[in-house]
Parts: sequence; structure tokens; C-alpha cells
Amino acid sequence: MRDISFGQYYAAESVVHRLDPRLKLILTIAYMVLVFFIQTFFGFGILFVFVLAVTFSARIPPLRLLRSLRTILILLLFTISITLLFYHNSAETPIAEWWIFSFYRSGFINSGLLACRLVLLIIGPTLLTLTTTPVSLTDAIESLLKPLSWIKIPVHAFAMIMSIALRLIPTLSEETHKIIAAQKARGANFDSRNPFKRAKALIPILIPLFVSSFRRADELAYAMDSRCYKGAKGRTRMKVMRFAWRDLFAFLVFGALFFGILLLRYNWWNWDWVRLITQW
Amino acid sequence: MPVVIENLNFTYSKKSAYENHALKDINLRIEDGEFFGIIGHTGSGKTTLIGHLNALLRIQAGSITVDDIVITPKNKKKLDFKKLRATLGMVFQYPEHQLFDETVERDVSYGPKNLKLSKEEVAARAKEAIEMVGLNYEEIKNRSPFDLSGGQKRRAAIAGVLAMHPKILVLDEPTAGLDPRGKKEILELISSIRTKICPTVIMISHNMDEIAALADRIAVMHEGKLVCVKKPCELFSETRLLDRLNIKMPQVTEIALRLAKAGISVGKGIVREDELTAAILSAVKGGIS
Ligand SMILES: Nc1ncnc2c1ncn2[C@@H]1O[C@H](COP(=O)(O)OP(=O)(O)OP(=O)(O)O)[C@@H](O)[C@H]1O
Ligand SMILES: [Mg+2]
Repeated sequence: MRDISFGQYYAAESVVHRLDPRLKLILTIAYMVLVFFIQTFFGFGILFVFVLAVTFSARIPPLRLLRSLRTILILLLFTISITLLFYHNSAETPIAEWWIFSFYRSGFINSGLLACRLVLLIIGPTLLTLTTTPVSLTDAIESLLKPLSWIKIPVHAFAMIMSIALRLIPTLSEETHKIIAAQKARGANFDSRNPFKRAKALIPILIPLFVSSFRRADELAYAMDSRCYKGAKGRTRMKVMRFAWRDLFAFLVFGALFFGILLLRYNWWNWDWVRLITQW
Repeated sequence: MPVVIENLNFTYSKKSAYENHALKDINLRIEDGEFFGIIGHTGSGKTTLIGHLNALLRIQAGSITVDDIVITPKNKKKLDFKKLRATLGMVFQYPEHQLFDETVERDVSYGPKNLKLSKEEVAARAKEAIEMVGLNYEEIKNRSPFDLSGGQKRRAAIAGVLAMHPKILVLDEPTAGLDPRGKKEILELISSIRTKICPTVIMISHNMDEIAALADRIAVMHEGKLVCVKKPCELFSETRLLDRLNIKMPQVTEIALRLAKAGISVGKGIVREDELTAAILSAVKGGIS
């Protein structure tokens, strides 16, 4: 195996990996909606526990999950510090002052909530892509968008384009490395300080890359033609997605979570214990 | 100056799940003026080995001397890459995939231009290299490299490397994907390059006939290790070694062996067509007289 990470799929044997990708996709969307309903640390706490439980049952090393947060680290720090510095109620008095800044209680609380929300928002889709291959995700999207094909939108064609593009990413990356090596062997210099020279140095890489992409596309088209590919009509799948008991289970667990979070927020029946928890 | 490789080790994707020890303790000396063949199963590390020779792969352990340039893990960043890459010309597998410029002439000039030679010198070298590879300079110089035939493209790409005037030429499966005639032409081209401008050639090949006919010595790679370096006639008479490494014999040797089995004694260590013809002729004459 070459070291070309394909998306960020983490290969492992687990229930979460085996869940129906359509269900995972829908649940991830529902999860992200849910994150916006939460306004207390208690609610975020529950969701964190849920996320951890999923991570462990998917056998994903928690570090791997943290790594995905690296990309939003700057955004996170920026929003936290802005909220911390400028957010406060008009009637509030500062609890601390430093240089020209004053800090308020509500500033701390709000930046904390914001941080939780951002982190949880990123973690959800990350868990999805860690446990689902891009190919089955594409299949899931195609299957979910099927109703659109009734109004003549070529869903299958779009999904096919996406799968092919995904499949070609590692191939093209390998090709790029080869071309770079070949041009370096002819004395190419990619380390010039001058941005114009740098851009110009890319031409000997980009053009062969385009040429080979077109060649590949042609060959692929011939190969598909010769195997009688003619679009969605009458096409069956190699991997049929079927709803299994574990999918129902996952659905119920998530449903309970969803319901619980909304209950905490709206407390439809005015239960005292709910009020107690949310105040705390 | 020869090419000397000492204790070379290389690992792809160090410290990850895909870690792959691709070269293990390689020691090798390639003399000036030698035609050096490298064979081995797919994935045995041949391409990785030659990638080290002009520092396309960062050396990790060991040392390499090319001409008078020494590459070690310590000096890998301060190397004179330009000089190294001008000294050692590298023709990769499917070199035609590197063509990019509007005309053949400009594409061939890319290497010399990178060496910062004068305009006249660049033009002279391009012309010389295009003629060297057997293309018609006047006819082809203004054509797009993408309109050429497969064999012509490969020649043009090889010209692009020759225009840098290398002292050592390295070829990675130069005949892959060509028809028999194209193969023969490229091999003839390599022979003529050898006699005319660049006597030292290192060539990787999966085709035993080709390598047996051309190489002075052959290195056999197996799972990242250098198994042996031998003359073709010695190597291909070691049936057991070949069997163990799953290497096929050249057809010529195979025929000689079968003739011997059938009772026509043609002698041992036959690897080239002309040798076989001579041996058969003398055996037949011997039989008649
Ligand atoms: N860029 C890379 N990243 C990771 N591993 C690699 C890379 N290139 C090669 N390898 C691995 O290193 C080993 C040696 O590969 P190499 O390309 O040197 O083999 P080869 O002898 O040239 O094979 P072939 O005859 O197929 O060209 C193989 O196991 C290969 O999978
Ligand atoms: Mg190779």
C-alpha cells in the first residue's frame, strides 16, 4: 500500500463503520441541527459524552479526532477572544480588568458555549468521514437524492462523476509526483523566491498533468463504453445498502438523544427536575 | 569517476502504518564506461535505488558518490543539485509523460535552459540532441510534441535528457509499452548514445533478452536487497538462483538449454543471439564433419 490517505477514512472494524451510510449521513445532519439547539453547558456535556461513546465504539483513536480540530484552531481562538473581550450585558460590572480590557462574567460563559458549539460542529462530520469511505458516502448521497431524478435531474450521473473524481485523486497525486521528479531531473528549480518564476516553474508540471488527465478520461470512457455502461437505467449495485437491526438501534439511540436535548431546552411539561438541571 | 553506493538504506513513510523498508544495505560500484543492468521483480526497489542517484529522493542513511559529488544524509541540503543532475541524466519510465512545451525544440531546450547556458549553446545542444535520437531536426523542431507517434515522443523525451550532456545515463525501463520495432529502435539508440556521447549507462529492465544482450554486468534486486552483481553469462547459467528469485531466462539461453537437452551441445553461458547462432553453426558443422 502506498501512503496516499484517501479523504480521511480510518479503516477499522466496528458497528459505526458498518452502519448504513445513508443513516449516518442523515443522523450527522440532524446532529448538526441539534448542536444549535443547545444553550447550556449541561447540554453540551451530554453531547460530548455521546461523541466520545461513538468514537470509542468506532475504535478511532481520540488523538485522530483532535487532529481534525487543528484546522479550526485559529478560528476558535479568534472567536473566543473576541467574545471574551467585547461581549457583556449593559447592566453588568466587570469581574476583572487588565490593561485596556475588562472581562465580564457573561463574556466567559458565552465564549465557553461558543467554543463547545464550534468544536462539536466540526467533530460530527469528522466522525462521519472517518468511519465512511468517500465512495459509500457518494452512494448514500445518490440514494438520498433519488427523488430528484423524478424531476429529471441526473442524480446518477452526478454521483458517477463524483465517484470517478474521488477514485482519481490518488492516481493523479502519484502522477504529479512522477512528473515533478522527471522535471527536477531536467534541472527544474521550484524553490525560487520570485513568485513569477515560481508560477512559471509550475507550467512543466501542470501541462503534462492535464494531458495525462485527458488521456485517462478518454481511456476510462472507452472502458466504460466497452462494458456497455449507459447510465442509471437498469443498473444494479455491487454493494446493496440494506437497513439492518443495528441501524434501527443507532436510530433509536440518536432519537432518544435528540428528544432529551429538546426536552432540556423547551421543557414542554414543565417538569421541575428539568428546570433544576438547566439552571445548574 | 565511477558511481559508488555504500550502505544505502531507505524507508518510505517512516513511522506510519505504511512504513516500507524499500532499500536494505545496498553496496554497489559502477565503473566508468560500463553498461550496468538492474533487474528484479516488481516492487523490489529498482526505481527507488536509481531515484537516489540524482537526489530525487532524500538520502536517509549511507552514502553515494556520483562522479566527484558525494551525497550523504548530512550534506543533502547543500548539494549542488544542478551539477549533479547535469552529470547524471535520468530517463524515467514512460518519459513521454514529461513533455510539456509547444514545440519539440523548446521542450528539448528545457534542460539546458535550466542549466543557465547561453542562448546559442542551448539551441546548438537541442539540435544536436534531436539529431542524436534519430529525429529529423528541420522537420520536427516546430511540431507539437503531443502530435508525435509514441516512439517519436519517447525519442523526443530522451533527447531532452541528452541535451544536458550527462556523463552517466540512467534509464528506467526505456522500452516499456513499445511495439517490438519501437523497442529495437530504442535499444539501438541507447547503443549509439553509448558509443557517441555517454559511455556509462545504467538501465532497469524487465526484459531479460534486452538486458542480457546489452549489459556488461547485471545487478539483481529482491525485496529491497541486492542479491548479486554478475556478468550476464554467469547470471543466466545459475538456474537455481533464477528459479528462487522467479526470474525468467533470456529466450536465447532457454533455447540453448533445450538444444543441450536434446543432445545438441552448444556450450554454456549463451545469452546473446549472435552467440547462439555461432554455437549452433559450429555444432551443426561439427555434426556434419
Ligand atoms: N512514493 C512511494 N511511497 C511509498 N512507497 C513506495 C513509493 N514508491 C515505491 N514504494 C514502494 O517501495 C517498494 C519499491 O518500489 P520501486 O518503485 O522501487 O520498485 P521497482 O523495483 O521499481 O518496481 P517496478 O518494476 O514495478 O517498477 C515497493 O514496495 C513500493 O510499493
Ligand atoms: Mg520501477
